[in-house]
Order: sequence, then C-alpha cells, then structure tokens
Amino acid sequence: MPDYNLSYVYVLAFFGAGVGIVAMMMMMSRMLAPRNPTREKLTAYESGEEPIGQAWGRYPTHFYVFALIFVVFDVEVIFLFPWAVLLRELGWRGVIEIALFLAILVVGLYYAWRKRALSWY
Amino acid sequence: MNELLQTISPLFPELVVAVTASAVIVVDASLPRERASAALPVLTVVGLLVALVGGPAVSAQGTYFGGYVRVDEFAVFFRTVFLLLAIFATMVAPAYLDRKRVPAAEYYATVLFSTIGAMTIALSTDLITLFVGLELMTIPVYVLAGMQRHDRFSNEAALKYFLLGAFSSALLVYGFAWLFGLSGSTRYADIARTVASTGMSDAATIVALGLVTAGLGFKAAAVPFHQWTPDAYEGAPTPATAFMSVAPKAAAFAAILRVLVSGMGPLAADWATVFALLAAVTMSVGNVVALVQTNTKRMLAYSSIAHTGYVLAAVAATGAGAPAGAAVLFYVFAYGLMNLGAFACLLYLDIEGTRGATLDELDGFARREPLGALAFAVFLVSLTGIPPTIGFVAKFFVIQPVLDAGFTWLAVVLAFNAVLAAFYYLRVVVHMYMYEPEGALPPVVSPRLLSFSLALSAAAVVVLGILPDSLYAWALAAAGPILP
Repeated sequence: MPDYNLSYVYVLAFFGAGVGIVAMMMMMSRMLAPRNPTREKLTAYESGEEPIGQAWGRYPTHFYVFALIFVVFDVEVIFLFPWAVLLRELGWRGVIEIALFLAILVVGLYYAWRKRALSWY
Repeated sequence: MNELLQTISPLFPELVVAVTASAVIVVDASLPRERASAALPVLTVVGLLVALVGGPAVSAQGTYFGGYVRVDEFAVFFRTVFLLLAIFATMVAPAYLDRKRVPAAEYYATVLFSTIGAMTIALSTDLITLFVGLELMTIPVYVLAGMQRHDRFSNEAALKYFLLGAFSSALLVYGFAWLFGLSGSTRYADIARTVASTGMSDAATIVALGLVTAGLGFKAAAVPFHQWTPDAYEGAPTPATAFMSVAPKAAAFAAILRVLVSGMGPLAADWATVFALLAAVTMSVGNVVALVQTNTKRMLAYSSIAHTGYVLAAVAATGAGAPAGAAVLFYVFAYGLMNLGAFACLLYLDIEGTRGATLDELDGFARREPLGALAFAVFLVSLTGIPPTIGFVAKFFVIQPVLDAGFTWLAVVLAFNAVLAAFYYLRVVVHMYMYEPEGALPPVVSPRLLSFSLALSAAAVVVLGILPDSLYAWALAAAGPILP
C-alpha cells in the first residue's frame, strides 16, 4: 500500500474509536442507569420550550433575504481576516484591492437597502 | 498606481462591463422608477460599446496574471461575440420588461455579469480560470430564467435549469479533478503534455475525458444531456430565453475548444469519433422533436439543440486543422445572431405569462406587423440554412472540414438534417404569411427599439451571408491559437 493511503488508516481508526465510545456509553447508561419516568421528567429537557404547533409552520420570507445578505457579509469577513494578517506585506496595493472588493459588496448592500429588503415591513 | 493600471489593463473589457453592471444597480436604486427605466438600457449599451470598442485598443495580447489568463485572437473574437450578444439582448428587452413588470435593473445587471463570465472562459489558459468563468456565466443565467417571479413556468424553468446546471458543474469539476490528478497541473499546456505521453492507455484518462465531455455537453445542450433545455427555454421570460439560448452555448463551445482541443488535443483522434456520434445524435433528435412542436418557443428550443449538433460536427472535425476551428467560431457567431433574433421576434406578441406563441397565434402576423414578420422570416430562413444568409454560409463552412476529416457519413447526416429542419422553420413562415387569422389572437405591440435592433441584425444576417469573407478570415485567425 502506498504511503499516502496509510494516512487514511488513522482516519479510519479515529472514526472507529468515535463510534465505539459513543456506542459504549449509550449501552452502559441503558444497563446501569435506574429508570423511573414521571410526567415531569418527560417534559422538554432543562429550559427547553414546549413545542407549539407543527415544525412545518410558516416563517416570514423576510428571514430568507436577511439570511442571504448575512451570508454575503459573513464570507466577506472570511476574506478580510487573511488580508488583515498580511496587511504589511501586501502594502497599498492590498488596500486598494480590498477596497474594490468592499465597494462591490457595498453596491449590493445599497441596492438591497434602497429596495427595502432591510426594512421589516 | 500606474503599475496597478498596467496590471489590470489586459482585462479592460471585463472591468468595464463589471463597472457598468454595478452602475446599473446603483442608478436603479437611486433614481425614481420612470427615469431609471429610461436610463438603464442606455447606460448598459454604452458600457458594452465602450468595452467592445476600447477592448482591442487597451487590452494588448499576451499572457497575464501568472499565466492564468491569455489575451489572444481567440479571446478577442469571443469577447466581441459576447459583447454583441449582450448589446442585442439589452436592446430587445425594455418594452417586455416594462410590460411584464420584471425588475429591469436586475435583468440588465445579470446579463452583464453573465457576459463577464463568458468572456473569462474565452480568456482562460487554466482549468481554474475556466471554472470560475463558467460559474460566473451560468449562475446569473439561472436567475434570468426565474426573473418573472409571478409566473410558475418561469419558476419551473429556473429550478430545472439550476438543478441540472449545478449537477453538470459538479460532473465537470470532478473531471477537472481527474485531469489534475493525471497531470499534476491545471494548465492546459501541461495537461496536453501529459496526455500526449500517456495516451488513452490509462483508464483515468478515459474517466476524465468522459466527465468533461458530459459536463460541457450539459452546458452546450447536446443530446443526451439536453433534457433541461426545452422547459428552461420555454419557461424563462422571452428576452432572457433569447440571451440564454446563445451566450451560454457560445461560451460552452469556447470552453470545449479550450479544454478539449487545446488541453486534450493529443487525444483528438480518440474523442473525435465520440463527438461525431454525439453531433449526429444531437442534430437528429433536436430536429425530429422540433418537427412535432406547435409552440414556437419550444420549437426554437429544440432547434437550438439541433444547432448544437452542427457545431459539434465541426468540433469533431478538428483533424482538419484550422478550418474546423474557424467553422466552430463562425457558426457560433452566426447562430448567436440569428437565434437571438428569432426568439426576440416573439416579443412583438403580447402573450400572457412566459410561453411563446403557438403556430395558430402567428397566423396573419405578416399583415399585423410587416417589419417584424420580415425579420422573423429572415432569421428562420437563415436558421434553415438557405442562401443568401449567414446560416447557409456557416453550414457550408462546417461541411468542408467534416469531409476533410474523413467523416463523410456525418456530412450526409448534416445535409439530411438541414432538409428536415426546413419543414418546421418554413412552416412558421407559411403561418405568418399565408394563413388567414381566425379566433382570438394575442395583441401585437411594436416597440421602436425592438424593431430597430431586429432590422439591424436581420440586415447583418443577410449582408454577412453575401459577404462572409472578412468574418471568416477573422474566425480563421482566431482559431489559430487553438488549432495551428
């Protein structure tokens, strides 16, 4: 077997260990733990909420637009971190390039704002 | 600063189009609706013209950005094609967008963004550049398909196009991964060197070739990867259909030429036969199914599949050298002009929703809108391939290299298909000119800008059909970097 395939053996071992430990803990809890269910104990755990209605309820589609805009700026931040780390090496050219990148995103944000995608109603 | 300008100057047309797209968005958001709807088409066309005229002047030929991008005659040719198509698609649209309450700025901006992607494909010397360009081109087109949001056919078109498009992109990128695994590089030149030494002996090469062919076959709508085409073309808003039936297809052929011919060129003898078979099946299925369509939009969708077949025949003939490449380029140019025009002619009819006119609804169209009917007839005659139109010349240039490459049977299939296609194209002309209108017909609208741009392109179809020499000479020069 070539060397690089050997490294997958570790992955496999980790996977096996992970599944094994979880399975063992669940089995031990089932065998050892005392079971004495009452009405109180069967409610949502800790500070969980009692469910109201169905999970297939309707949400305002507004959330979708917010989520999209959020993702765009989330990704922007991912690009900004490596740029910030290398700021000194990249120099002014880096500043100009990132400014262009931000300008393109700001155009999109401006459009979303003017088209009232950001207002709730 | 000067140095920065020098670095980006080779991408002048792409940058101008990108700035125009952003400007369209900002202007639309800032101006009141009426002023914006008048200003946006002008702004879009001006930006595209600046890119078209300024491109060759500013962007010098050469290799840039660490070898990821090359400006050569091939790229210049395709840039021109894409920019012209975008101008055409912009000029036919305003009245329709207004009538159907499609957000105009979003239409123009998506067309512009898609154009940038298409141009990037033509510039690519590397699988990574190619893939970025391909996605930048197709994602806006999915949006275009679904732009008429309140029409459920438009939604269907967008969803089908998106799902199958995403699937084909995945196939393609998997094929690229195999190519990278084989050669250890994403450059076409390195891939060509590797496959030249290994040949087809390696099973991995066959897998890579198959995946890339399937992925690009989806984008170009070749049979058996064409199933999304009719629904996507029929459901999309008509100006969007006009654009997405030509620009992505032209870009797919740019990608096919770049990847298969220049990257996998040493294996041409092996894949040429496969492409010849694909071409024969594609043109036959497209034409036969188009025969039974009664909706013109759907008929033109199948006809566009048939045209993919004709271009694929030229791709299969790469053994014949530069004339085959020139035939592909010439055909793509001709097809873009006449197919966009043919779809745009449906914009004269004010039809509910996105569906195109049925044949019966075109009865007597020649009397109701003489100029539009004349332009439609010119485009249809050109699509059939009857002289003196560019469609005839394009088919003529395809057949010669196909014969030279030794695919005599394919040339016979092609000629037979051209005859078959005449039936359904000319049937539309007969309906427009010879049938008396009966029953309720959709009202006709005649926007001046639409008539103007259709007259211009119909004239180009005829003039280039009579005097194709300079365009062909340019296509031959543009094929040089790919097929010496």
